[in-house]
Amino acid sequence: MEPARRRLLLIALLLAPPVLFVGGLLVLLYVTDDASDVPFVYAAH
Amino acid sequence: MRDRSLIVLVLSVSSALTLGGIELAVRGLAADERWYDVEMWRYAAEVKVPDADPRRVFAHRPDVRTSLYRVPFRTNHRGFRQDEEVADQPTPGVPRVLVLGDSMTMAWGVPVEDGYVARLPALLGAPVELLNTGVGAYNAVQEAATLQALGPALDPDVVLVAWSINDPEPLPGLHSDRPWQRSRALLLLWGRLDRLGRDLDTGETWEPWYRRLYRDENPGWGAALAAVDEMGAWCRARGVPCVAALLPEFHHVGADFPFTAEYRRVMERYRAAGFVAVASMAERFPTGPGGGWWVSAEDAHPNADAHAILAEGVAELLRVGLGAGQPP
Repeated sequence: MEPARRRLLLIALLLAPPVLFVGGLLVLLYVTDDASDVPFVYAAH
Repeated sequence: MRDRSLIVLVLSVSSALTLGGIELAVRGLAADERWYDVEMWRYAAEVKVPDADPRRVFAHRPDVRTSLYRVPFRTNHRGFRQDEEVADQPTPGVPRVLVLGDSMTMAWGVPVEDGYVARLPALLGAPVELLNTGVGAYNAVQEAATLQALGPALDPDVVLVAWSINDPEPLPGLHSDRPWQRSRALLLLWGRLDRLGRDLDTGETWEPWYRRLYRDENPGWGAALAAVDEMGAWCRARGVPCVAALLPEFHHVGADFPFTAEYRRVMERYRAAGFVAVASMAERFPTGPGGGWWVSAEDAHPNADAHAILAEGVAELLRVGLGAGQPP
């Protein structure tokens, strides 16, 4: 693989986890943010 | 081959740094954002301990010093969430009130001095010793067990029982303590995925959920009523006045409180069990959606303003119990 393409690939790999994990978590937080219809749920404890 | 190793290394390092960063961010933000699942789990893990009584299941650890929702959370030597210590014997001339309840009584999410129990002495205008045995997630059965366990030794002059909307739920277990739950980020993720799954699965909201608890086919309903009878019998046997305050569910309060019929049945049972003063607090609030009384956007526990209103209603009941007022 030529050096320029190789560098691009590494940068993409470096950025993929933060984009996926942070993005996924933010989307989940957004779509579940309205808890106004949820009863007390003690499942977490 | 060298390229493949490099790819794996870069992905692993980047993933580890990202997950570590998310964990640190969630830890830093959890209390400010008032993420219910995260803070409630911390409460269970740091404050609760198993209890030998199978009906009580758990109690508070004594002498806890922590912070939940960025609010100081302390327990005294007996595990009560109050700053005052409790002597073995009541002080002569100072009536002792044993308070039984759940997270609302414990004043979840607000400073202890803002809770309705801590506000009572000022409203009563006379010396009174309050023993706040409220524990988060307690139901009526656990409160009856607490009365049986602590009542004889503490020798109260009055017993105040606080009913909550979810009292007919089955006995809760003690929190699980799996290694992954040490991660705040995973707790948040799990809580939100659970919420999403619940929403997609049944779409059931708070109102039918709570209303179902009050049907005869729910075993927890019968158990809760039996617990009311048990507490009434305990008080009658000792000549101790028992009073009961029915705390509202804070999604909707006021004159058209959605659970008026259910609460009426509970009040009838309290009266039949010999409670000298019984009242629902929901109607003391202005009629309408209760979001303004919530402790946070996703947590329907009462905030300090709501506790102030609850305290006024509970004080009226306590005056009756203390022999200084008329039943409502």
